[in-house]
This record gives sequence, C-alpha cells and structure tokens, in this order.
Amino acid sequence: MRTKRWLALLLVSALALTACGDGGGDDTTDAGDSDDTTTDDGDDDGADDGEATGDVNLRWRTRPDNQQEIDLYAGIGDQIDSEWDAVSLEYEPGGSETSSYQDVLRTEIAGGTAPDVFWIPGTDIADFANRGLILDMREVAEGSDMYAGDDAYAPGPMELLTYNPESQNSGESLWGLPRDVSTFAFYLNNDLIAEAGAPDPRELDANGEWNWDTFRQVAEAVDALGGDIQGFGINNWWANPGIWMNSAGGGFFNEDRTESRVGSDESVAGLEYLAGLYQDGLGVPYGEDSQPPFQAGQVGMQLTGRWSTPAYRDNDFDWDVVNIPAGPAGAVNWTFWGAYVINANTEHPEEAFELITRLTDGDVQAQIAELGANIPSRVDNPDTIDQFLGFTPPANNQAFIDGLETSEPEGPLWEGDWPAFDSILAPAIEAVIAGDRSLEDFAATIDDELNATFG
Amino acid sequence: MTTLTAVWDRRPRWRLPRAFDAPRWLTIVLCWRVVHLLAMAGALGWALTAPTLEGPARIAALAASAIVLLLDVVGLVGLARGRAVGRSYSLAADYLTFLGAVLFLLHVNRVFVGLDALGETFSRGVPFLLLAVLAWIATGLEERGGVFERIARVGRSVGLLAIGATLLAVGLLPGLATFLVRTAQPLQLGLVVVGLASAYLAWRTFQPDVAQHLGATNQTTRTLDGLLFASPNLLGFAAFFAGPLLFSLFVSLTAWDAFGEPEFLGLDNYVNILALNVGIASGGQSASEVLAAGYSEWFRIGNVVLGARDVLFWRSIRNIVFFTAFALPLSTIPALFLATLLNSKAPGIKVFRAIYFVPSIAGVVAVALIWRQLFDSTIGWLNYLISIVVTWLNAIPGLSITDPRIQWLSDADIALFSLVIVFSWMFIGYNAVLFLAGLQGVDNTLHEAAMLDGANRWQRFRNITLPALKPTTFFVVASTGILTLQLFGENVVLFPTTTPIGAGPQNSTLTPVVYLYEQGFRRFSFGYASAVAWVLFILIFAFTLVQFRRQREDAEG
Repeated sequence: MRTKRWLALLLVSALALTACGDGGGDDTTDAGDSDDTTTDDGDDDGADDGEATGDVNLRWRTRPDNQQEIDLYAGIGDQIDSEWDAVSLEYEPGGSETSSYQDVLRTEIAGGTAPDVFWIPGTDIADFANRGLILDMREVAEGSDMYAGDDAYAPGPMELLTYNPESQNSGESLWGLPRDVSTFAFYLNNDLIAEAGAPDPRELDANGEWNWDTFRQVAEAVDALGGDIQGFGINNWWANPGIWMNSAGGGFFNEDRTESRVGSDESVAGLEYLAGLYQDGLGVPYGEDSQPPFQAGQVGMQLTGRWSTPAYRDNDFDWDVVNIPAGPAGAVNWTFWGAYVINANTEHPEEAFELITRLTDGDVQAQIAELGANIPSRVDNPDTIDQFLGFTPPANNQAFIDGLETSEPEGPLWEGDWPAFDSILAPAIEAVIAGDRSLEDFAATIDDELNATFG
Repeated sequence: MTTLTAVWDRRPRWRLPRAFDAPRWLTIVLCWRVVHLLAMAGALGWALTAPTLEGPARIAALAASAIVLLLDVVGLVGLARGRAVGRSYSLAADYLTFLGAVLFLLHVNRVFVGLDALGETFSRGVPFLLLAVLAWIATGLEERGGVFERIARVGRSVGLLAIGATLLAVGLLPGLATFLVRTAQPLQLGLVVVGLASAYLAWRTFQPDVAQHLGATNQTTRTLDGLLFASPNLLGFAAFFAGPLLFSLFVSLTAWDAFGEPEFLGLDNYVNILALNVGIASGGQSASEVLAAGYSEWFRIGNVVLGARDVLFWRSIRNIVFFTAFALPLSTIPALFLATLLNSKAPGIKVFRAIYFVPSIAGVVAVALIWRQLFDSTIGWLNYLISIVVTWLNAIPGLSITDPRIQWLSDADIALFSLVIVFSWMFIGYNAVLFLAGLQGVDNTLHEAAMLDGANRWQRFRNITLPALKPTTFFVVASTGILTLQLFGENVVLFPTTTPIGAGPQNSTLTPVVYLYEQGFRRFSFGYASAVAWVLFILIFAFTLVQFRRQREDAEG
C-alpha cells in the first residue's frame, strides 16, 4: 500500500514536471499571460521553442464565423510565420459571436492571459481604449517602415480609430487597424420575386427607383403569395432598425456623438416606416431569426451583411443582392468593421504592430475577401476592390461597394456607454414595432433615457 | 522472479533526522516563529503598497499574509507560554508556508500554464498508459496461483515500465530539464529553501516527543490528524469556493471593472438595486413628475406609480417569480403522475424510465438549440403541427378556427412561457425518477390494508402515497425551485440576438442571472453584478428556508 502511495505521488509529480517542457519540444508557445509571450528576457526561461531559436512568440486571435475562416486565418498565420524570421506566431481562433467572443476576451484580459494581438468589433474600441486595455500604437506606427499610413485604410473606421479621447480630435491616436469592412444589403430570392410578378429590385436600383415605396411594393407582392411566404425579413439587433433611421435623415447620435438623436423627427419617421411594414404583416416577425426562413426559400428579401454570403452560396434558389432602398435622405447604410488591436500588456509592441500590418496587407485581405465573408479595408490599391467584385456569387457585388459609399461607420461611442445605450434602445424599438409603445411616447422620452448613458 | 516492486519494498527505510530533542527544538521553533512573523509582516506591507499588485491579486496576497501572520502571532504566544495550542498554530503556519512555497514555485516555473501543453501531448503516452492499465488488470490474477501468479508478477513489472514509458513519451525528460533550469534562479532557489525548511519544521514539530513536552492531549493529536487529512479538501474549498464567495461579497461593496483598483462604495450598490419609490399620478402626470429624482416607472396600478432606481433588476425579479410560479408546478406535478405510471412492472418499463430521463442529461445548450428551431414561428415544427391540426379541425362543418401562428420567441407576452415549456420538458423526467425512487420506498402493506378497508385508487394515492412522498417532494421542490431562480442558459440560447443577450423581446425573459451577466461581462460593472448575485442568493436562501420550515412542520405535525 505504501509503495502504491509513493508511486502515485511520483507519477503525479512527474506529470507536473512534464508540464514544464511544453510537451517535450512540440512547436507550441505557452498559453499563459502576456509575460509568457516573452522568450528572451533571460530571467526565467530556458527551454521554450522561442528561446531556443531566439524568436519572439506572438499570440493572435480573430473571431471567425466558420471552420473555413478558421482554416484560412490559420493558413495566413503560417504563411506570415514562415516569411518572418524573427517571430513565431500562434493563431487562436476565438469563439463565434454567440459563444461570447468578447466576454471570453475580457475575462482573459482581466486574468492576464489575453493574446498579444486580437480582433474586436468597432463598437468595443472606445470601451477597451478608455479602460487602458489596448495600446495606442501611434508612436510605434510612426517608427515602423511597414505602416502604409492612415489613408491606406477605409476612412470611416480610421476616423474613429485615430480618435484621441483627451483632445477629442481624430487623426492623433491609433487604436487599431481595420481587419476588413462590411455593409448591409438586401439578399433577394429572385425566384419568389419573379413568381410574385414584382419588379426586380436590382433593375429598380439601376434606374434610380429603388426606394421605400418600391421596397414596400415588392414586399407586398411577395407576401401576397400567401402561405408561409414573407415579403421581407430583418433581425432585431441595433443596426437593422438603424438603417431606416439613417435613410430618413436621422440616426443614433448627434454629429460629435455626444447625445442621442433617436427621438428626432427624422429618426422617428424611419422607425414609423419600419413599424408600418410589420403592422401590415409583411415581414418575418421582428425578433425571429430571418435567416432560416430565407434559406428555406420563404422570404423575398432579407437584410443582412456580407458575412452571410458564404452560407448563402449553398442556397438552392436563384439569389442575388441589392443595396438598401433609399429613404428621404437616400440609402444610408452602415460600415461594419472590426480592428486588430494590441494588448496593452504585450512586451513586444513593435512586433505586434508589424504583425497587424502584415495581417491587413492587401494580399492577405484579398484571400479573406475571396472567401466571401467580408470586404477589404485597404483603399490604397484599387485592384483589391476589383478582386472583391470578381468573387461571385452574388453577381451584384457592386451593391456592397455602393452601400459603403453612403454609409455611417458603426461605433465606437467615445463619450458614452454603448452597451448601456444599446440595452435601452433595443427593447424600446421592439415595443414600438410590436405596437406596445406609441411612437409619440417613444419620441417624447427616448432621448432622455438614452442621454443618461453619456457623460 | 524478482519484480521491481519487490526490490522497492526491500529498500532500507530512511527517516528524517531529529536533530534536537524537544526542549531545544521548541526554542528553535520559537526563534523561527519570530523570523516568520517579521517576514509575514513584511509580506503584508508589501501586499498593501506594491504598485504591481492590483484588484484580486492584492486582496488574495493581503488575505494570505494576514492569515499566516495571525497564525504566527497565536503560535508564538502559545509556544512562549509552553501551551500545546502554540504548537498547533505553529504547525498550521509552517504547513501553509510549505504549500505556498511549492505552489508559488510551480507558478513561477510556469507549470500550471504548461499543463495546457501537456493536455495536447498527453495522447503520445496513451498507448503506454493503456498497457499499464492492462498490466495492472493482470496483477489481479495473482490469487489464482500457478502460471497466473507468474503472469501477475510480470504484469506488475510491465506496468511500472509502461508508466515510465508514458512519462517519457509525454516529455518527462525535457520537462525535468526545463524545471531544473528554471529553478536555478535566485527566487526559485529561495522558494525551495523556504519550502524544505517549512516542511521539516512542520514535520519535526508534529512528532510525538514535542507534543508530549507541551502536554498535548490525545484529543489535540487526533484533531491535528483529522485536519491534516482533510486539509487538501479544506484548502481547495477555501481557495475555489469560500474565497471567491467572500471576494464577491467584498466586490459587491465596490465599483470595480475587473481591471483596476476597486473603489469602495459601502452599500450603495445594494441601495441602487433595491430602492423603490411610490407616487400618485393625477391629471395625466407622467412618472417622472410624481417619482423622486433618479427613479423610473416600474409599473402602475390605476393612479399609483411604483418606481425603482434599477427598473431592469425589478423586471428580472418579476420575470423570475412568474417563471417559477409556472415552471415549478409544471415540472413537478406531471413528474409525480409520470412516476406513478412508471412505477409498474410492465415489460420494457425500464426503457421508458430511461427515455424520460434523457432530457435531463442532455446539455442545456443542445436542448435549447433544438427548441429554438421548433419554436421558429415561420418554419418551426410547432406552428407547422398546429396549422395541420387547425386545418383538420376546420374540415369539420361549422368550425372556423384561425391559425394562431404563435410567435413563441418574438412575442413579449409569450416568450416567458416558451422558456417554461423548455425548462419543464427538461426536468419532468429527472423529477419523475426522484419520485419513482420515493414511490418504491412506500410500504406496500399500507396499500393492501387500505384496499381491504375499501379505499379506491385515488384515496390510496391521496392518503398513503402523497404523505409518504413528503421528503422526496421537499427535495424535488427545493432543488427545482433553486434551478428556476438561477435560470440562465436556456435564455441565452433561445434569445441570442436580443439586447441584453437572453433578455427576450422587450426584456420579457430577463432573469436576475442574465442581468448580472450583462452587468458584469458586458458593462464591466463587476461590483454591481456581485451585489445582484448576493441579492439573488438571499432570495434563493429565503425560498429554501421556507421549504425547510414547511418540511419540518410537516414532520413534527
């Protein structure tokens, strides 16, 4: 018995010591805190791969939407790793949006185990920057030969990414570089639209007749097919009602993004138009996921972003895309974007910055765009956009580029609390669309409620 | 054949030397205690002032050094007075120092981080480990004698060699080399010295001659033995349960975003959560005109407006009370009747028992995902089946029923009931198995006697079965009730796109746990989220207490 006890203790101790060897020479880096990404400090490390080769180990992470993207990003990481002698890279695919990518990331930052470079959505940039979690890399960028300059990237996101919260001016700080951009479009079930005898929205758009009136006509015609067929479908997160407010000449914030203007006449008009569509029963009920019925061939037009393209390439009906319809103020879309940022606690800011420049290189962005999910964020090379237009289906990729040209960049809210703002706005819009709250009451009180989240 | 274990068992026994007799040893321990106490006072000061320590790390360092310092003080005073209690506290301080030094050494040598990598490479050793398991099974043949005895001996040796091969395959040698290289640093060597010294001091002080010299009773010795035996569990409990629990209580009194220093607020978080205000609205007055500043309307009855500072919290409480009011009976009462059906000796009844139990072992996420598809108002199966039934009924002359096309997940009046359905579906089977166990313990002679007295089936169920099931019913109601009050996973999966996530249309499925998750992980308000968690804890505690009281009154009555 005594022997077995000693043997068990020996076994456990030996296994614990084995943990020191990173698996006996496997090509992995420690998954520890940012200190653990160091390899050549000379104070405590002795047998890491990075140390053995003199390399700097960097961990980086994105939020891919599917296995194809994971494979692609892993391949890009391997490619950069093989071309870059001084650095060893470890790619960590984060969870999807529904598996709370940001929550895991925040927990890791709090625990000191977050990667050196990671991707976050544009709406989170201000929150992360104001809390000192990400590095202002302007100084590093100025000393780098690899940086193509602020002008090389999509201007909307860059204006927000270079905002200095102390001086309240853009063009001073640099909190990250956009990985890619995206925008909304209506995905069309051409078979249903043709069956309903409705005009083709792409032709209407080409003729300058794609507006709220013709949108309603098409939706009514498709909905009249009866049964489970729905005219249109949109989902219930902030951007979806937002485009109707934008296109009506309203929006979420005033010009310097320090106050709400959701209660303005224009914003309320946009919401009124949207609520009218639902109250006439033309759409998939607000709050239901409209993607499954669209893919099942039961929805005429579905509003979603470029990211839905890979999944829709398996649709067994004729489909394409069209820009959002023009409201009183035109077709004002969103520019969705996320950025690679540097962990404020990284010990290798220069290498981390160079990694970001490599990850946002035009060739790398072309590889990602080819997958279909996103649009390149580099604007310094027209070939990049031309390549994107060639990645079909959908045939009408130009709709996304048109959408970007007249769009509002999403977040961040430097002078307010975006999660709090969103938590108040979303249920209020749901109540209006469901008819549980009058537009008058909404218009009278919503700005006061939302303005409490600023300052 | 000589096996490796036989050689091991015949090795000469070696014990740690007792360098000094008990009186001299106690003098050394006394001096050590003074040194240790000063070191702990220094550690406490460092934990208070070190700029590199922040938030929970500072609090953990403060708590650990304060506890050991306290043990040092009591131990020092006790030993100075020649009391046995001094030995006990001194032992505890040295034992904790030993453990702390070992754990800190493993931490600075990055062993805990490396365990991730070990997880990736462990598969290399699996074939050898399987061989070791087979060899260990073979050692069980020893009792059969003859050739089996020889097989068992060979198995024992093969097993040891296989374990060694396992360790080599997963990387023992490079791991050992790395550990030794990393340990050859001043800090690590210091930790080794402190750890070994503390271990020896604890061991020597634990010896019977020291206990005898201080007049320790058998009771004291037995207590120390028991505490030592239970210490791994106790320390684990303290580190991973009690510690975080107390830490969350502290955090609930602060404003803290999990990254910087907490700002102490006292009871402000609790006041903001719980504060209510009542106003009387007349002549079309709005809520803001009749409620005190900082309060928003929660609900109104006639002219009476009830306001709260945190309306969303109270909304979550209302939701969870409604949810519990429906989900608790729906997951217990049908379970009781299901159990009575399953409590028969019909052929194949065990298969049915297993089938009904399956939902409770399925993961919440998987179950909720399936239900999300079933609930889809456009292409979901539930509405499809309802449409078929409606069509079928409308075929009856004179009937004209409108297809309801229920919006299970997007109608604020229905979403909570969708959650009730999912929850009840998941837990009916589990509760039925619990009731079944209770039913099988009911004395059958009572039923026979009642039958002789002319009692029908319902009378027997009501007057014999139900009273006999009271302990089971108490457990089922209490445990299910706690689960309903902690509802979280189902919401998040069924309502992934609402804001806050899981809150459902117009916050109709917002529950306290969803709310505290939103506050903590989305809004970085960990202080406020902790306060919500403690309020919920009190609610659950009160619910359980009521159940206990009722159970006790029933037992006594």
